[in-house]
Parts: sequence; structure tokens; C-alpha cells
Amino acid sequence: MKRLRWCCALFAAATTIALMPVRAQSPQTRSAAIIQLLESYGGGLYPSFKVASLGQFRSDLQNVGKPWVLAGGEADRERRRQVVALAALDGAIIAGPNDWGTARQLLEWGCAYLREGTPTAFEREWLRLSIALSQLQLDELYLVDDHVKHADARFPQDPEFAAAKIFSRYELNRLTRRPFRSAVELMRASVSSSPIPGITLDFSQGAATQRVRDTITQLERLARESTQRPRAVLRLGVLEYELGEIAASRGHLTAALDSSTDAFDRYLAYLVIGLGFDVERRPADAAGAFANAVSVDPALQSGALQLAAHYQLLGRPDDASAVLDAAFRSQSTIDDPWQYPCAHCNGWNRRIAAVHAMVRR
Amino acid sequence: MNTRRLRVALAIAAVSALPWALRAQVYRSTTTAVSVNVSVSSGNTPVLGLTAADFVLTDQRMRQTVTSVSSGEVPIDVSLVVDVSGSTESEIRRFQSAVTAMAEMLRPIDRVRLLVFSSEVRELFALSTASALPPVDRLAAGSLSSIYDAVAVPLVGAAPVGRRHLIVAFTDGIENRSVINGDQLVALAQRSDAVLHLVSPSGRLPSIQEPNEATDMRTLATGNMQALVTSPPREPRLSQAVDATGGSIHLGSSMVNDFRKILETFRSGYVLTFRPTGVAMQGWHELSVEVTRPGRYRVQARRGYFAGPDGNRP
Repeated sequence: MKRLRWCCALFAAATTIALMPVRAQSPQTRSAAIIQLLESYGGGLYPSFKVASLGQFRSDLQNVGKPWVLAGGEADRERRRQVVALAALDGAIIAGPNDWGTARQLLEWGCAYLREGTPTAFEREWLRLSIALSQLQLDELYLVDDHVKHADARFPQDPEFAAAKIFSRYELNRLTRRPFRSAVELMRASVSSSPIPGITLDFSQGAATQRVRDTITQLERLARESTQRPRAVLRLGVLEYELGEIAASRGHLTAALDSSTDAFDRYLAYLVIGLGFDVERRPADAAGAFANAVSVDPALQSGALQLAAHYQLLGRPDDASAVLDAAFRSQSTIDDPWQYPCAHCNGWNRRIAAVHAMVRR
Repeated sequence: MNTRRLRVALAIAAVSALPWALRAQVYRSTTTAVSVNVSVSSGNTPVLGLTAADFVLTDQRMRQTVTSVSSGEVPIDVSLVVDVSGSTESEIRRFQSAVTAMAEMLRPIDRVRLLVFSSEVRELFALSTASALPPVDRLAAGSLSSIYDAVAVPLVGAAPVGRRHLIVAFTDGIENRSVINGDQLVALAQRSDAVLHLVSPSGRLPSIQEPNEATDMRTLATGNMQALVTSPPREPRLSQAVDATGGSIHLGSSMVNDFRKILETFRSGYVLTFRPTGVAMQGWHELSVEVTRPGRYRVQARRGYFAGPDGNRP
């Protein structure tokens, strides 16, 4: 969540016109601020706004949103409905770490409101983004029980939403600099980031092992039967890395490289191959993998920092400096998987811009 | 062999130096010079005017001959590393004015580099003379803290010839997003000529929140569904990195005053140069520096250095 908030702030700084604080005191001024916010979307603006209380924002948006949609008349109704849903998504994005419960309610409400209309390309993209956001929160419970089901029902032929039921599992949406080495450690750590801050449900060794085995089986099925094969193979490789199964991980990651031309996926595969070589204490091979990642996008810091550190420790300080200089002075073309490790996070910043463009007048 | 080639040769060997060092017990003298930053104080006062004869320097417990001592006249490169993550949001305005004040303490021959970090590291000001530093108005609070990454950045690269490198990191945050791990950070610090200081404006030591590195998990309830709470443990690797370079950790007072003190101590310190003699060439070289003059002194210096097969050091 924090990562996304940060990126949104960057995006806003690049594209926005005005700051619109939605922290007014009286109901009237709060309503006016919400309407001002909604109107700004139609002008192609993506305001960077703050809310004093996410719960209050949710309540105000629900109270003001529907009348505002109706006030636009029949011709503009669908677009306005999308604007309100987008404001709900943006509110969820800026939620603080302890506000995820409220953020989830915002998303549920936005999802239900969109379902009052006919399925659209906007709704599909909104669902993909809200799924990515929930994955980043490691909120499998909500995703699998509610959100993905709604998405699957609205877009029944869409392989992406069918696959999301699997990709939304806790253990598939994190990436760490050291593998957990066991299913139970992975599960415990993954669920510790669940919506209840600091508190998680524990997994016994047997339950965790069974759970991860089941995930692997489902990913393997997905890799055989779905158009989502490259991503399924990639996630298998990442999951195996987190379990400390480095050789198996490298096999799947190499297969993912063979089957995907997507820059985000390829960068992630190289990055995890490099981290795996480090586990095996093969620094020269790790440096090679990180160099491949950097060649995909020299501006991304995860690969650049690892490559620079390896070069430094391999006695190549000038090369190390050059890698960091390039990273600081280049513009990234993709999002860094280190910051966006979840399965549906690919292209987050590009897609969040695109979905805002959809609601312009 | 020029300096760069020396460094390259050394560092290549240094990567896997530790296991090799155990069997590379070839003792001979080398022609490679090693430089060590040393700060000497008595109480809170830097001790000035020391000469080579006042130092006892051992390399792997073998006394070495200090061939030269230089001090304040050497130009300094300062890397300022500023935490702008959410954990220090309230400090950002103070940072903005403090950075300018810190830069003003530098001499025309000195240079400064400004790095800020939250989830990622940004170089706001590349290494240049302090007078070129513009007003720092681009600090904005971020979210997660990549402390290891931020500290690693200035540790990377070749040491500038004829200059000393001081790194001052301002953070009291929670390390939770770096791609660089603790072992790598310490390894980089051990191979660096820079002196790293850490300043915590709030007085809190940085902590770590990485599920597979933090083991401080307490069970609150038992049964089919156990509730666990994680509490971030204190972060030991950063302290080890600071210690490896001969720097210190400074807890909670004025950022500007802390920096002034660090800079004055660094500037009034000494660069001792020696040629390792009678020690195993390759691997980790433990260093010890003492002052022979009567009195009680606090001597700060790097804990050691790595050398390659020719005895060359990075």
C-alpha cells in the first residue's frame, strides 16, 4: 500500500494540476470537496489528495457519489459511475497501513457500484487494479472470497480473472532478499502482513506444506492449460526461490524467460535467478544474472544495486559506480518488481494512468 | 601497477578471500601501501599534532612501520544520506535547512553528495563542490525504508585518489525494503575506505522488519489459530557496518551539531600509510591502532581491510 501511495504521489506530481485536500470539517464543505474531486477527473486531472479519515471519505463518497452521477444525466451516467468507482480506488490506494479494512470496504462498494451497469473495459481494468492492490496487501482472504469471484462472474471468459484465484494466494505475492527455506516460515511471514496489523493466523508445518504443495499443483495446471502460462511458470520459480529450492526455481525462471517477452516478467526472472545464485554462494553467476536484469531496464534500483554491490565485491569498483550512475540518471520503462512483487502488479503505473484517461470527458 | 589496477586485482581476490586466506600462509613483504583513517580524541577534544612516531599500528597483530601521516589538509568528499521515509516525516523540514547548514561547513576543496531514500534511493545532488548545492526543496516523505540500500550506495565505487570520504547517514527508521542484505552491507563497509557515521535524530536506533531475518516472533495465543505478533528487533548489521569503517553512531541531538562534531573529528583525524610486512597477503587483515603518548585516548579506525593475492588492497 505504502509503495503504491508513493508511486501515486510521483505520478500525481508529474501529471497533476492541483492539490485538493479532502479534509474539510462540515458535511457541506466535505460534500463540496468530494464533488470538486469528482469533477476534476473529467478534466483529465488526477488530483493528489489526502483524507483526514478514510472512513469519513468512504461515507462522503457514498453519500455524494450517486446523486452526482444522476445529476449528470443519462448521457454521462456511465462515465460518472466510473469516476466515482475510480475515486474509491484512489482512496484505497492512499490508505494508511492501518486503514486497509476501510480501504477494502471502499473497494467492495466501488465494485458493487460498477456492477449496477453493464460490464465495460473500464470495469475490467478497475478490477485488475483493485486485485493488484489487494495482492500487494497480501489480502488473499478478501480477494478469493469476494473480489475475484465478482470479477470472474462479470467477465467469465477472461483467463486473467480465472488465474487470479490462484495468483492471489498469499505466498505468491511477496519477494524477499533471502528465501524462507520452508513452507511454514513462508506462510507465517506472508500472512503476517494480513489486514489485521501485526496479527496473523498461524500455520502448522503440515498445514503450510500442504498449502504450498496445493499452490504448486495449481500453478502447474495453470501452466499447462491456460494462456497465463508464462506468468504461472514465473510464479512457480519465485515461489520455489522463497522455499529455498534454488535449482528448481532456476529451471522455472529460465523457462519463463524462454516463453515471455514481457520486460517486467523478464526482469523479475533475472533478478530472482541472481538472488538464487547468491544463496548458492556463486557471486560471479549472480552478477551475470543481475547484469541481465539491468540490461532489461538500467534504471531499476533492485538490479542496479545488486549488480553494483557484486561488482564492488568482485573487485570492479569502477563498473559498480557506472551501474549506479546509470540507474540514477536513467528513466525506468517498467515498474520495479522489487517494489511491485505481486502477480497482478505488472505495469501498475502505466495502467493507473490509463484507467484515469478512460474517464476523461 | 597503477592504483586502479591494484584495486581491481585486490578486490577480485577479496570476493572469496576468506576461505583462501586460511591456506594462503605465505609471509612476505609487499610494496602495496595501505591507508587508514584514524581519529584520536581525549574526552570530547580531538588530539592534534601527532606524528608517525606517536602511533602503533598492527596488521594481523604484526607491528607495522607507519611511513606517512597526513591530516587536515586532505580534501574531503562528504556523502549525506537522508531518510525521508514515513518514519521520519516530521524531520523533513529540519533536514532541509540542516543540509544547507552542513554544506556550508565544507571548504572549497571539499565536495558533497546528497542522497535521500524511502522505498528507493535518489541522488538529489551528485558529488560536487558544496557551494554548488542548491537549496534543498525537493525532499518529500516516502513510505518504506531501504536503509541498507541507501548506505550501500556511497560505499560502492573506487576510493578517490588523494581525497578522504566521509559518509553521514541520518536515520532512525525501520529497515524493511532494501534489496541489499545485511551481510552484503557489512562486506561493502569492510572493503571501503570511507568512514561511515550514523546519526539518529530521534535517538532511536534503526530497527529491522524483514520477516525472514527477524526472528523475534512471540506467540500470543495457542490453539488451532495462533496469533503472532512481530516486533522489529534492533538492527545489528548497520552497527557492524559503521564499526567496520571506524565510524560511530550518534543518538539524538541536533543534526547540524552532530554533523559539525563528526566533520571536525574527521578533519582533525589522520591518514596513516604503511606497507604491510610480515603478514599473510590475502584475505582479511585485522588492524589495530594505538597512540603511544602518555594519557587516555580514544582511537577510532577501521577494523581491517581485505587484500588480494598480491597483497594489494581494494
